[in-house]
Amino acid sequence: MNDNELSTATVAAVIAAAVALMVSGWVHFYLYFRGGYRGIAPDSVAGLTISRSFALNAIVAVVIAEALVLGLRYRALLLPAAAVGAGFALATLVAYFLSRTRGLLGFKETATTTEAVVAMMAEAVALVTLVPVAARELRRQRRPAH
Amino acid sequence: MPTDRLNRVPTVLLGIVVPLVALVTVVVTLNATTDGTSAAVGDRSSSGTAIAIKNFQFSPNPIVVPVGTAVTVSNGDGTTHTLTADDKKFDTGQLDGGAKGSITIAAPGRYTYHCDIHNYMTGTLEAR
Repeated sequence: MNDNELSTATVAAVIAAAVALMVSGWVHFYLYFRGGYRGIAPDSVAGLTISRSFALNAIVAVVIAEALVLGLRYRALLLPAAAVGAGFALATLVAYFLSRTRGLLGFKETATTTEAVVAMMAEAVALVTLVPVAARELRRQRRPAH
Repeated sequence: MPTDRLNRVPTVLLGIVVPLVALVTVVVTLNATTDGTSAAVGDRSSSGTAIAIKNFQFSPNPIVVPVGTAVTVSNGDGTTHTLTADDKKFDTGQLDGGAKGSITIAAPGRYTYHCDIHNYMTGTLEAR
């Protein structure tokens, strides 16, 4: 297998990460539209309230998942998609941690819900699968062409 | 060869799978579940002995309650809330998601209250 060919492990990691991001996005979508999180905490930064960040999270998750899947065909897309996906998963985990500790945008979550556990697991899967993919793609791009 | 197998998948199919899954999931979710916002947050009448918490809001609000009668407080959100008088004369304590509690107003008057965890959640009740 040459260096330009995607390994089975990479393909599996990218698909797993795309699915994980979709799951995390779905949880945020569900909480926003059905879970009572649409009108929480009025605090905002540049118009972004904690409620709107749930809706935004769902949209961004789908966009990144799409970029990851397309990255399997258009190799140049894989590194940015994997890097952004890993960053997004990490940022979502950090945001949840902040909401459980000091509060985020005026909102403090006090209970561990099933939705939160599912989302955390999905984001953790996305993070651990995408970091190696991004690192591998970065190494590949830095290697001099033969 | 994984790349060979991948190359056999049409680009259109590869590009449409994520939006298609997202669209189906959204449609199924919205049709199979009830909306927390429009779902009953309880009787909207302004008197009674029940206060519901849903979508980080108290309802009915304001409400007229009888003096000396237990008022049920139901938390319909997934997170913990309290219904606490601003002057601390009554307090449900922490109500986990889906839990119920009660308060009893001992003296007539108009009271303002809030959630001790989410202090932007406020309400008013009048005891008669």
